[in-house]
Amino acid sequence: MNSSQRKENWIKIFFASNAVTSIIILGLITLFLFKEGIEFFGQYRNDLQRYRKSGMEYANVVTKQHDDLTLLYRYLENILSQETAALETLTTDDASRTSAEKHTKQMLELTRDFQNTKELLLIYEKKVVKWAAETKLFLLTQSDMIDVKEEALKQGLPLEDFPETVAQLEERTFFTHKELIRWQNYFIRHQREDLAKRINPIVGTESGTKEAGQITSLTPLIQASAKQQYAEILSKQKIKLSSLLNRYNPNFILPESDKDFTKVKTALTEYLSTVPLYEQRLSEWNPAEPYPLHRAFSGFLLGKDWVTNSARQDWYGVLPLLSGSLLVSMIALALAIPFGVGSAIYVNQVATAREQSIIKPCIEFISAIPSVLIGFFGIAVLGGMVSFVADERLNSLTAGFLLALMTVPTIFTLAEDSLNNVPRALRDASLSLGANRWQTCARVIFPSAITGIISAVLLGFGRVIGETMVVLLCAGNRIAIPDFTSGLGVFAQPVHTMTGIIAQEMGEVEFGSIHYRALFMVGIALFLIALLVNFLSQTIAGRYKANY
Amino acid sequence: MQEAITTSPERSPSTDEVDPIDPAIRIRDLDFLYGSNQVIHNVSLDIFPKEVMAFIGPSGCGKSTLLRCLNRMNDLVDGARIGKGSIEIHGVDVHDKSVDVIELRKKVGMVFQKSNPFPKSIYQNVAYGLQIQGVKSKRVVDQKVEESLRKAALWEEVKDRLNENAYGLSGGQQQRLCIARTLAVEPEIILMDEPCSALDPVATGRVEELILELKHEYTIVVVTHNMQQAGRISDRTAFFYLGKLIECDRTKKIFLNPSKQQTEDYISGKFG
Repeated sequence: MNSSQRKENWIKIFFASNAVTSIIILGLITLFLFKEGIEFFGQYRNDLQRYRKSGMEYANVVTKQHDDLTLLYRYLENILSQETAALETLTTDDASRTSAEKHTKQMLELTRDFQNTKELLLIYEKKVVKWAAETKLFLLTQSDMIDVKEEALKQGLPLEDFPETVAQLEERTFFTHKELIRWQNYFIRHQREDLAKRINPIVGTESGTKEAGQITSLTPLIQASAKQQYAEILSKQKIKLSSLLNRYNPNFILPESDKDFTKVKTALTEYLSTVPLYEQRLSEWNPAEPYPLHRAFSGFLLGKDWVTNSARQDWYGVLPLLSGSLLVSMIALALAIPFGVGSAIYVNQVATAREQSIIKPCIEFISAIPSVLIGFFGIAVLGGMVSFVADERLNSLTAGFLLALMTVPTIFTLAEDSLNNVPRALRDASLSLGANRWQTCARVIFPSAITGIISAVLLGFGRVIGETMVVLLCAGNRIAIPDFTSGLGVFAQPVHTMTGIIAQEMGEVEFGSIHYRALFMVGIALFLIALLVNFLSQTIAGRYKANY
Repeated sequence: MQEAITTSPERSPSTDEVDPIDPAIRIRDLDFLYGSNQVIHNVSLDIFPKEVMAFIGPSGCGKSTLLRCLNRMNDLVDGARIGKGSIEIHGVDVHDKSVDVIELRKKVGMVFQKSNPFPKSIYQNVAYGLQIQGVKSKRVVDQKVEESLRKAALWEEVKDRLNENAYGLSGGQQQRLCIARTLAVEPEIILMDEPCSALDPVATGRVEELILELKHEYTIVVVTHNMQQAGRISDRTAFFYLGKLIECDRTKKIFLNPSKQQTEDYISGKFG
């Protein structure tokens, strides 16, 4: 091999290595994302298993039932207060007053009765929640203890003060404060502060059970109460509520109270028909039943709640974030497409060379503005303007406006390119047939460029959905699925986004926790969306090129 | 070549003589500039109805520019303007402010160097001119599309696939489709800017046949690099050099007995 060939080879290797490096880095990013994220499902499943095992699942059903009842109670309270107010307006010598007074009194009694019934359930609920909370702490401690024990065995530490085997730990139904302190000291003695830190003996001393100084699994207690107390409460409730429905014959002062009361009656009947469902759900609760892994998947993908650091249970459902991201993106695109494509058509078809030389750099400069500055503008100026149509200054509309501004350059530049790529000969042909400029544009140039424009819009979408700073600052950051029943108002609700939640929460989460992994999963979802959008726009652009 | 000339009516006199027929196009003392660069110098020329006029000359001689002046396609070029002189079509100065350029282009159709069908179906390509004029009736459009495709000698080849994309046609077919598209607008004059330069000899032959057929109905101006082609299809030929009209006469005379030395040099291949 002569020297010039060798040189050529080296040059080839140099350029090839550049390409390969970028591909490898892309691969590493993907791999890292997936590696960190994928463990989420296992952890989440374990967490949900604890949620079931501790009885918190059971407690939440009771809470839900109590909430239903509270809503009914609020209706009754409303009727009572409007009746009382109406009574005040009647003069003392009014003939109907005496009977009205009697009825209002009856109504008051009825409301009290109802409240008492409700109270029974509330007391029970509080008790169960307390038990479940302690059980959950116990389960967490237990799994921590098993972890540190396994670690100790792996490290070959002597048994000494920590002779319990893993199997023994799994069998335990309580831990005492003393034990935990002893184990903590054991690890400190062996210079394993990291493991010592994972043992938290404080929980034992503050437990809600009678036996101070220990933390216990109270699952049996909850199970027993389900069979006795809860059944008792329900049967009492049923009798009270149905008699309440049948016995009370209202004679209201206000006609709307009559209407309201009919409503309450229907709602109450409805409630009574749901009670068996609650009973069924509660009787089906089985702490030992394993929580299937696919429920962790569906819990993430279809979960409607994103709740973290909750006293009861954390939920990691991506739906509120995804819908927030999509809503904001849709608003942004709805605004950016006409502006971006419109100005591209103007610059490409109408503008003089001088106008072009002013408009193009101006629009392209927008993309050079740091997004945090755009966010400032949104908070300081746009928020005030948006608040004319929305309840809050910062909402999806504010963020959508700003994202539209940010994505106009992307759409403009790419759409202008694709308009430019339409052969001049097509324009000439159209004009020579007697078409005017607008006919030519609408019937020949735009349709010929449409694939390019679609891919421009898709890339704009990719830019919008990946944008972080502006949505974090201006989208309002309320984690909830937008209320699509509120008509146009849906566009003016505060939302949270996938990018925003990562930026906001990633700095504070504990490394390796479920929350940490959940954020990675959100990142993966974002990554997949970006991948899909990119793929689509490339496919479309490819088809476009094949045309000429 | 011989045959082409004998089949055409021998009624076109040279520009020097007084002409009894009104010219379709009358160009007088025309100067044309791109910015400060003058590309046409003082050209005067008459083109008569239903004749085929060929513009020949080396590249950059201004023949295509002159052609594009006739339907004002040069309006689209920044800085392009008439220095002096005029172009009259049926007695109307086409560069007059009162002239509707859209109407002008309907009357003066154009076929381009490279076939440029729209990325639409064959049918849509031909119907385009009618549709932008606002013709809604499907029956009228259908009829006109068929008529135009027949005139362009393309009907038999495409009648079964009118709804297929025009890009599926061969180069020659595409060029004839472009001619059909122009015919559908019912022009009086057809300008052709090197219509065969991108075609193979067989396709070229078919387009040339078509031109000879069309001249019974239309006035045709053809720009060509190919002198044999000019000889085969045109009644008269104008030779341009460096933006000036050197000679314009009956094609037979230009080719057999040109009166200017430059013309003879070009035709005999001494330059170009």
